[in-house]
Amino acid sequence: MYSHRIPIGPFCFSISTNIRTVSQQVSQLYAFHLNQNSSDHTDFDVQVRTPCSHRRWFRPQVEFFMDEVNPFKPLPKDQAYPMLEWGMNWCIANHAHQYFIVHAGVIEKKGKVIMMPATQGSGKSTLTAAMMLSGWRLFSDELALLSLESDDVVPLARPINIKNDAISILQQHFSHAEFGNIAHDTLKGTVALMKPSQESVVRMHQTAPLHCIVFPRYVAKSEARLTPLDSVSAFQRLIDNSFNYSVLGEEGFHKVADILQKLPCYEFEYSRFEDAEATLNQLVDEK
Amino acid sequence: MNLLTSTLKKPALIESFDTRDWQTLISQSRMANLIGRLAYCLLESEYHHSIPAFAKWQLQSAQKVAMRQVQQARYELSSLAPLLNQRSQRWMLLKGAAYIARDLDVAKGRSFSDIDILVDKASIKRVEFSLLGAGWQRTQIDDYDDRYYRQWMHEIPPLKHSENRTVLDIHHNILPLTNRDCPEPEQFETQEVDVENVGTLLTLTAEDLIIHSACHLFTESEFHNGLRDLSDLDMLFRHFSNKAPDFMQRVLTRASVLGLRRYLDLALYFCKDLFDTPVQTQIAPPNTITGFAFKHIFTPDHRSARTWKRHLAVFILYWRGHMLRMPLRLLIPHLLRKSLTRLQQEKTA
Repeated sequence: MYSHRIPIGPFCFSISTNIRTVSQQVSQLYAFHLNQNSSDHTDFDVQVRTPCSHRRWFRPQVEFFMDEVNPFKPLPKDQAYPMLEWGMNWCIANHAHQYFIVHAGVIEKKGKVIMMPATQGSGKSTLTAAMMLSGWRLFSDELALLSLESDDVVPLARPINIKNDAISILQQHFSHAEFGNIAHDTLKGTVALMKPSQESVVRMHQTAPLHCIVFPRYVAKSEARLTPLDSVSAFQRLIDNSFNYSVLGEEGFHKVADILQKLPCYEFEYSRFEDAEATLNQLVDEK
Repeated sequence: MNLLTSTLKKPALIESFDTRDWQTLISQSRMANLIGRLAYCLLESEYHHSIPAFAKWQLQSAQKVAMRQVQQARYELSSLAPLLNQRSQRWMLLKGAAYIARDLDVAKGRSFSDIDILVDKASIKRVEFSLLGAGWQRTQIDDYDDRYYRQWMHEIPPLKHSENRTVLDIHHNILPLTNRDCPEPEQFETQEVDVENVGTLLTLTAEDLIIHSACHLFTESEFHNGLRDLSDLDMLFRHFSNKAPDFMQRVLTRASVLGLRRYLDLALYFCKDLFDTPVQTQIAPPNTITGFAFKHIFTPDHRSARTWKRHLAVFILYWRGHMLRMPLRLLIPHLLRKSLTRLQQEKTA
């Protein structure tokens, strides 16, 4: 068994696996985290391992565990690393109800956080990765953790899950993009994880207030364009993209209402990274 | 004794916990489906200042989940009640749903997934069809299992709500029809409760509620929630005894009348043994094997508390549960058939 203890934002994960390539990728992608001090407790004790059965040799599979809870069906062994990352998302999204959790890419510049909630396939992770590679601080590509006690968003700074064509597009565009191994034919297509920037990881304990909400949508060949979104539509979209709105009940309702009363929301169409960045820069430059 | 049971019994223990103890406690409570109850027990205790931050957020989250489940159940009851009132002659809530309707402390933080109801047997077909028209669906089981349920069991196959995934267990008796102690459901006594936004609902009287929960637990063959269900009984005994000092005597007499005394005795014996439930009456201990098996099954199913004794207990109680459920002439063909199906499934998987 290979074991790692990794401080990730407000949590401490203990990761163990009997698969060498998984351990290698953890060491590679979490290299900056491993330099940070970790606490003496573990919040999530997770494992990805091949089961002890004939399936070890015949069409090998992997299983994910949080402690002894096994929430998913086994996957083929070559998807072990993506499974670990999905499993870690599951841990946070299903247990950390001290936050309002939204399925969103989250980036920060000048102490202002932009949250980009979106469904699968809208290019949210790709856009988040491109912004990080252009110098924005990465909070998360999947989980926005919004404090229920303040306006702050809490960073996670984990590797970014990039899918299909976006992998080569980002590689071509940003020569400093660093990926782990590429997993083909997963549930979500071809998947690779991008290492978070050092700055994002070193500053992962620094929270910052939410500045605005942007619902991104990749539209081929479009000009980058922000359209203000009324708060009623934004309300619906925000809760559709939330993982724990129903668990939080009244607390969740007040949080969403509070956000929408204070902050602007936009729909955001984009195709080129440069234009997208210029547009998002304007949002944080405004007084 | 395992950390979870000791802590539930004596929350003061947490004052001397180290990081590792806390981690073990959280893990054990999660595996035993008792994290919600533990959360209420510790967060509302005078020792809540000793809970470290990393354990506190886990407990508070579990508390939020539990609160939502109770709210969900109340909502479910408000939509079920009119339909059941219309379609059945008599129906009542059992177990968790009854605890919620009666607003008992035992409902606070209790993990909750199924709504159990008892419907008079004559109405059951009508009720089932109406529910199918109201968004409930049959769970996917094969024809054999379906027939098994309907012919021998005290309930029909569970229904699942198509939207919110709540599971509804509809019983027409409290024990399988093939159990030799199976009573007439009409013998049970009911009590009305008023539930806000729902109306007047029927539950069993305090005595019968406890007797039913005890029968349910001590005729099981699988014990994923065993420790939780025993803890339920402990809390119920304490609650009703506090309200009426002669409650213990009444429930014992009542169980004898129903012919279900042996299940109540087991409940009292193990509650006293593991949770120090105040039981003044002397209860005869169960035979050696049953005693051993239950003592070790009422532990968290987590590596920190799992020994060979627990594995053996699982095995013994699996067989005990099946033997109680039906006579051997039915049981052997049934289990043979189940293992064959399982083999076939493994082959195709």
